[in-house]
Amino acid sequence: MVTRADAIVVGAGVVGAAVAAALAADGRRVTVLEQGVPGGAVSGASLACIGTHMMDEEELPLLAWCCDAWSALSEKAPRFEYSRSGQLRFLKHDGERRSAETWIGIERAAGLSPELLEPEAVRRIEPELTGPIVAATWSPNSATVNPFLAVRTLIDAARADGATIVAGAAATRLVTSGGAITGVETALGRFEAPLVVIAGGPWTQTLAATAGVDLPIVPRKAQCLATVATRPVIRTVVGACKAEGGVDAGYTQIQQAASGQVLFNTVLEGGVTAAGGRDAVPEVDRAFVHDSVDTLLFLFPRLAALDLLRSWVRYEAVTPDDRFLTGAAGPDGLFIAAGDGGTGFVRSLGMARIIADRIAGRQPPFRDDIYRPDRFAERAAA
Amino acid sequence: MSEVTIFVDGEPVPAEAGRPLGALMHRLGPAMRRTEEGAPRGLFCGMGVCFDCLVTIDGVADRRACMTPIRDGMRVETGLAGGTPS
Amino acid sequence: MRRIETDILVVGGGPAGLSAATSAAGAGARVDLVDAGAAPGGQYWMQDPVAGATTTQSAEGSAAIAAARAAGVAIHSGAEVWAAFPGGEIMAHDAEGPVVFQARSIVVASGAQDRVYPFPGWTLPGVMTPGAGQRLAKLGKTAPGKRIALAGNGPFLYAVAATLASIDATPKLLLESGKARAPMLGLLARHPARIAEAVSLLAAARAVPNWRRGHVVTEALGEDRVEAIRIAPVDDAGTVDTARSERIDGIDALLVGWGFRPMIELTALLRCRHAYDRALGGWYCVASPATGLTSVEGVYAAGEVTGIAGSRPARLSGALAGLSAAAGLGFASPGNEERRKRLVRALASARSFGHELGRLAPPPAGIADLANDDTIVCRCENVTRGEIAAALAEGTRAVAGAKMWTRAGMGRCQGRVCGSAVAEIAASLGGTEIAAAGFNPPRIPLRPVPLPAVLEATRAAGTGETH
Repeated sequence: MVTRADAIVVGAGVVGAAVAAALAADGRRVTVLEQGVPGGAVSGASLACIGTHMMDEEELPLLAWCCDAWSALSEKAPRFEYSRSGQLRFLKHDGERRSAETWIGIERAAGLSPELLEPEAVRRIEPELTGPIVAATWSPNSATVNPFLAVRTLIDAARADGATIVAGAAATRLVTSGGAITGVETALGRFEAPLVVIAGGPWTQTLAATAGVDLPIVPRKAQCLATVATRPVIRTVVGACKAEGGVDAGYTQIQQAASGQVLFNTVLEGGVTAAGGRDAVPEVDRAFVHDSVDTLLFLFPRLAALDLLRSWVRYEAVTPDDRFLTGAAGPDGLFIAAGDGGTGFVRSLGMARIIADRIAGRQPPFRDDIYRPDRFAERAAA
Repeated sequence: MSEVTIFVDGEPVPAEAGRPLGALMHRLGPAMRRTEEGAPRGLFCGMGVCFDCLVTIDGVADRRACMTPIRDGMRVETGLAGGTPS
Repeated sequence: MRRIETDILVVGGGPAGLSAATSAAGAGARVDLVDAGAAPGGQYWMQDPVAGATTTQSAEGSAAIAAARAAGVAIHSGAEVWAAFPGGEIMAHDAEGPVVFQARSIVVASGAQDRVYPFPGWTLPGVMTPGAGQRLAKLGKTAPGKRIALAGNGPFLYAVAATLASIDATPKLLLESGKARAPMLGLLARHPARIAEAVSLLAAARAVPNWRRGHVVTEALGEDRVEAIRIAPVDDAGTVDTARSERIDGIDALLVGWGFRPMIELTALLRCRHAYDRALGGWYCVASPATGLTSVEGVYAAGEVTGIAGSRPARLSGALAGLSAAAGLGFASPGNEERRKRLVRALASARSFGHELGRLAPPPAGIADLANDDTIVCRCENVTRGEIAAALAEGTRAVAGAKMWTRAGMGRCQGRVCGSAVAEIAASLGGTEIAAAGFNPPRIPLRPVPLPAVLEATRAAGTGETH
């Protein structure tokens, strides 16, 4: 069986769904191929924070554009639990103040409005945060979304513009002819199109390699926990301040979902991902569980009355410079949108904008040269 | 057999120590809590799997009545009187 | 914190687990048994918490418990297993807090739970599983109601009728989906040793004043509790004729279930291979019929978790798994191999009876379709069938996809109650086999656990932080 479309998007995570929606909105007939279930691998396991706080300075224009785009989408399709909660990044030691102030300076220079708050002011925003922190940064423009419903909303938008979603279609090989892409071979047969966008997260490099395109993406294990549902206790996204010299709190993210479950994780050391790990069904690490619960109860001691309910693991696609790969690569008609390092939720709408604009010959509303998939090859050559 | 007294929503109730609280609660009326939408729920699986028979026991919320043996003086809150449970 | 190093950890204290523990300890291994119940015995050998053994069946159980203790098995009751980490570390939790077991081998005998499917009104108080009714009677000396309806399929319904009769709570109504009697007679003719048991169960069913075959409950009605039910005929193809439904008033307890589902959460967490057979309860853990070994080294499975077959195969497969697990660690006495061979033969015969019995009375094919669009399917997160159908229509698929887009299976029970129904709904709407809809892979914690207990249990051994 051969199915024809104007464009094929491989992967129905948040990036693939956003790309499909953007291409379909341009009037292209889009087919989305998903090996599992939409949003089921990396996106759904995300804590889905939409924000600009403590991110790469050069990316602030794209991130700010993305925050506005998510807000606009939530008004158009208000069913993905978009919540403009704001974000707190706590400091455990006075030594972290310098880093916090540096971040605030950078973001204020870019027209954003984060600030440094003393504990008393933090508790006015987050009353249950009674643990012994020394201060916290506050970024009011951050939001959270329900990652599953956000993917569903984007797929809905794509379908409304004529896109077809094929779940259970694992892409096995890119098909090329005369230096141009012509389609994708899958477990369900061949799908043909003159445009193919790979939005396959940590599976992207394997498929790209079948057309001779070498992408420097590696999978990184990310883990998360959830408590049972409880009354509203956490209003914001609470994280650890990103500071030089290694904060002993490491990376932390804590928030309460609309369901009432408290979602949280703390990673003290970057885990090494075993080869083939992205295809395994892995379990959370014991030390990760301990550190995450420890940090949650350090910040929110009254949550000790709650039960742990769930845990999950995902594999984020990471690039050497921590920026995603988005744009044309290899044979004519092949595009890449992957490697977001676990921050794909906020960036997905921007990545989709780049793909749709470049395919249509338009200039994206922010710089996209820093995302070109071939940038590492160029650096190596230089 | 050991007759004891427990307190259900403040009211003293005679009970037999060691038997599952869920059985006593079922006898008092099959509803044990209300969902957030206000729907009543009672004992369903009786073996700790379904988490429908949740009550507050000695101040600890969301305990399974079916898995809790009765102890003398135990204080049980159903959340039925006050509408939605905490 | 309690940290227990052992040769073999047996999870589950029913017939399979007790038999496994006793045979492994008898071979010389150090054995610990962990069980969620207040007392060991499981569902089949349930012990009255106040009066002790009161029936022949529970006396058999107390003898098995005594035998396990005499063999040196350390029994940990009231402890639920919630985590397994690489290296044989199993974490449990009881009223006193965490217990961490470090075991060289594991025998999983986690048993089964009632298999249920949603229908309008099934969340009303007073509607419960037949197993719940039996536990109310046996553990709580409490009748589920004064006017009880017992419904579903399979011989377990007769056993529940007998238990209820023993506390003067004989059901008013017994509804069975199956009609044909000839295949059952044929099965008994091939297994004459089971005739006496069948006759006694049949007597319990006959004691119910209104016993109707070929019927299902299509709805429970009531305000704050069940007050009436609606029933309808069902044919051999599983089609329910709702046009011929009738209402039965004055019902204050409805016990409805469709046999059992293996509790595969721990074997799935341990990455053992599983297979699907609706007649064996759905997904079950695959264990070698010659040893009880699963696809994972050092992990054995026994009893209902390996496919619903009844208490006799549970005991035999438990003894086999315990013997094999001990032998695998070098504990073997001279007569062991002979004993193992006898167990393998006896197990094959006992299992074939149990499996054939399961095939005689499967849940009707379209049973998950009794739920209408407004019926709650996931009782924890209050997800309706209509919401699940909408998600499947909008591009997701399978149990995993339904969970992500609707939260069905994301609550406290983690899909143990709604899993069979969601799979059958996903398969029916997606036009696939039920097995293709999959199941939600369990993750830790297998049961909700208080955060402070998690913190303590996951602390690295020997860090000096231990209190």
